[in-house]
Amino acid sequence: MPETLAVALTSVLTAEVMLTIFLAALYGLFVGSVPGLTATMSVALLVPITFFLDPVPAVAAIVTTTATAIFAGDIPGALLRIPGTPASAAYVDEAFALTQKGESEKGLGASLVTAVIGGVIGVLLLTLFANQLASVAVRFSSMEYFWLGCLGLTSAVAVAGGSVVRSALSLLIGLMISTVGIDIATGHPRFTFGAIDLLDGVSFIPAMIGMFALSQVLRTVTQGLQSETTVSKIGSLTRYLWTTVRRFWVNILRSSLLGNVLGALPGAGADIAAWIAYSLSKRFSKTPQKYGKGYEEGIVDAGSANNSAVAGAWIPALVFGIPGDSVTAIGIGVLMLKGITPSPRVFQTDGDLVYAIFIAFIIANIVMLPLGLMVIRLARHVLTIPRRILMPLILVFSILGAYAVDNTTFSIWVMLVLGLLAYFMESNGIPIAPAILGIVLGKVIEKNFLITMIKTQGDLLGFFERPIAAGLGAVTVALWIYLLLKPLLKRQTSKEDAKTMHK
Amino acid sequence: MKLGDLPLGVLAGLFGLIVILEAASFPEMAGMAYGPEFFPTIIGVGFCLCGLVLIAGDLRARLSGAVQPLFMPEAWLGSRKALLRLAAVLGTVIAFVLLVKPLGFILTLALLLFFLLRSLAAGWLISFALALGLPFLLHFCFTGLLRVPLPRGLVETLLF
Repeated sequence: MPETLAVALTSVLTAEVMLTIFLAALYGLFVGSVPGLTATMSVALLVPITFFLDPVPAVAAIVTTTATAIFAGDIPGALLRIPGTPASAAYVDEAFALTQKGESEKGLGASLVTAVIGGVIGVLLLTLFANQLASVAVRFSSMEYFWLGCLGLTSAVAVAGGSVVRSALSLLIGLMISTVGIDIATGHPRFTFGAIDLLDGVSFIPAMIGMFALSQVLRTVTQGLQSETTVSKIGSLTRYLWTTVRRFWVNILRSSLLGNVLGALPGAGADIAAWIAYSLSKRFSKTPQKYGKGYEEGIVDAGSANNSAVAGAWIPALVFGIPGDSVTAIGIGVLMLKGITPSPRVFQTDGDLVYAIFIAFIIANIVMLPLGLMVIRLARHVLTIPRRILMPLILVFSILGAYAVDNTTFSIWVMLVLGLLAYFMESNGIPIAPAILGIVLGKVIEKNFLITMIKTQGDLLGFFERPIAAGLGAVTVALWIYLLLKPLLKRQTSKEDAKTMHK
Repeated sequence: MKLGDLPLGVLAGLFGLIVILEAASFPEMAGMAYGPEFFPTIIGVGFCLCGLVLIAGDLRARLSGAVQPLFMPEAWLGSRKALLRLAAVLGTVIAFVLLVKPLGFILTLALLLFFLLRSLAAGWLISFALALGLPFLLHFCFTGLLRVPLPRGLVETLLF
C-alpha cells in the first residue's frame, strides 16, 4: 500500500498532469459559471480530448472539470439568481438574498471554502468506502451484478423526483437505446435498421454530447438569446473563508458525509445531494427562521454536500462499473478505454492508477481555492459573454467532439438524433438522468442475466440462491413494490385529509 | 413541443407495441428459454404499461371535468426569428455532415460558423474573426496535438 501510494504520487506530480489539472480547472470554472452549461456537458465535450492523453491525466481532467464546474455554478447563482449548474439550484435564492443585502462576498466565500473542503473530504471518503466495498464485492458473481444493476435503475427512478411514470419512461428510453446493436448471445443485430455503424450499439459519447450539449443549444436559441448582464462589483472575500469554517465546521463535516453517500447512489448526483442537504440543514438549524433571507448556513451545508457527492459518485463506478451519476457514466467509458476495468479487484490490478486518480482529485479540489477566487473576481466578464457567440462555439465543439470519437460522420447523426430526443424529453417533463443510467446499465443487466441463466440452466430462482444476491434481490423487489404503491398511498392519505378537513 | 398525457401515453404505447412486434421477429436460441428477444420484449411491455398509466390518468382527469389540452405549443413556435434560429442550428449540423468530405474541414467549418454566427445576430466583425481563426486553431489542435485526422479539402491541400 505505501509503495502503491508512492508510485501513484510520482505519476501525478509530473508537469503534464499538473498542467492538465490547471487547464481543466480553468475550463470547469468557466463552463460551470456560464448558466445553462452543466458539469456533465463540459465533461462530454472534454472526452474526445482525453482519448489522446495518458490514463492519469485523462481521468484527472475529468474529475477536475466536474469538481470545479459544480462549484462555479454557485457564482451566477449568487450574482444573477440563475444557477450555473443544476447542483446550485437548491440554494440560489439564499445566495442571491445575500447579494441583494450587499453581502455577495459572504455567500461566495462560503460557497468556495465549503466546495474545497467538501471536495477533499469527499475524496477521502471515496478512498475509504471504495476499499471497504471492494473487499466485500470480490465475492460477487453474475447474480449479484444483475441485482446491483436492477437496484441502480430502481434508485434512478426513485430519486429522480417528480412523476414516477415519467422517470420510468426515461429509464425505458435508455434501456431501449442499450439494446441497439448485435445481441451478445446470438449475434443477431437488433434495431439497427440495417446500419452497419449501429452494429456496435449507439456510440455513447456522441449520445452524451447530443443529450447534454446540443439539446441545450436548441433550448437557448429557441427561448431567446438575451441574458441580463448587470453584475455588481465583488469585493475581497478571503476573510469570509476562515470565518465560515470556524462557525460551521460541524455542518461541513456532516453534509460532506451525507453528500458522499447520496452521490454514491446511482441516479442521485450533486444536485439531489444539495437539495437534501439544504432541507436537512434547515430542519436541524437553531435558527431556521433565517433561511431564505440570506443566511450562510444553508449554503454551507448544500455547498459541501454537492462537492462531496462528485467524489461519492465514483464509489460504485470504480468498484462495480455502475455510475453514480451522468458524469461517472462517461468516466467509466474513459477508464475502460484507458485499460482500467472497474471491478472490486481494481485496487489490486490498477492500484497505482486508482490512487493516482484520487491524488489528482484532491489536488484539483485544492487548486480550486486560488483559481476560484480569481474566477469570482473575473465573474463580471465571464457572465457578460453573449450567448449568440457562445452557442455557435458550443455547437462547433459538439460536432467536432462527436466526430473525433469514432472518426466518422455517423456519430454526428447520433448526436443530432439524441439531442432532439433529449430536447423533446425535457420539454415534456421527462428527466434525462434515468435514461443515461439505462443506456449504461442495460447491457450490464442483460449480460449478467444471460450468464446466470446459462449457469442455472434457465432457473429464475437461481437469482435468490446466494445469500448476498438474495439480499440485494429482496431490497430491489421491495423498492419496486414501494414505487408502485407510493401513488396509491398518497391518494389514500390525501382522501383522508380531505375527510378530516370536512369534519 | 409539450404533449398532453393522453397523446404522450398513446405514443409510448404504440412505440412499445412496435418494439414487441420487432422483437418477436428475432431468431430463437436453440435450447434457451431467454434469447435476444427477451429484454426488448420486457422494455416494450414497460413502454405499454407507462402509456396505459398516462392515458388512464388523463382520462380520469377528463371525467372529473378538468380541461386537458392535447398539446401545448411553446411560445417560441409563434416567433419567426426563433424558428429561423432553430433551423440555422439544425441546418449547420446537417450541412457539416454533408459538406465536410467534399470541401474539407477548414472550409466547411469556416463557412458554417460564419453562417451560424450571423444567423444568431452576432456582429459582422466578431463573426468574421471567429470564422477565420477558429477553424485553423481547431485544425491545429486536432491534427497536430491530438492526432485526429480531419477530412482534407482545398484549403488543407494548399496550405499543409
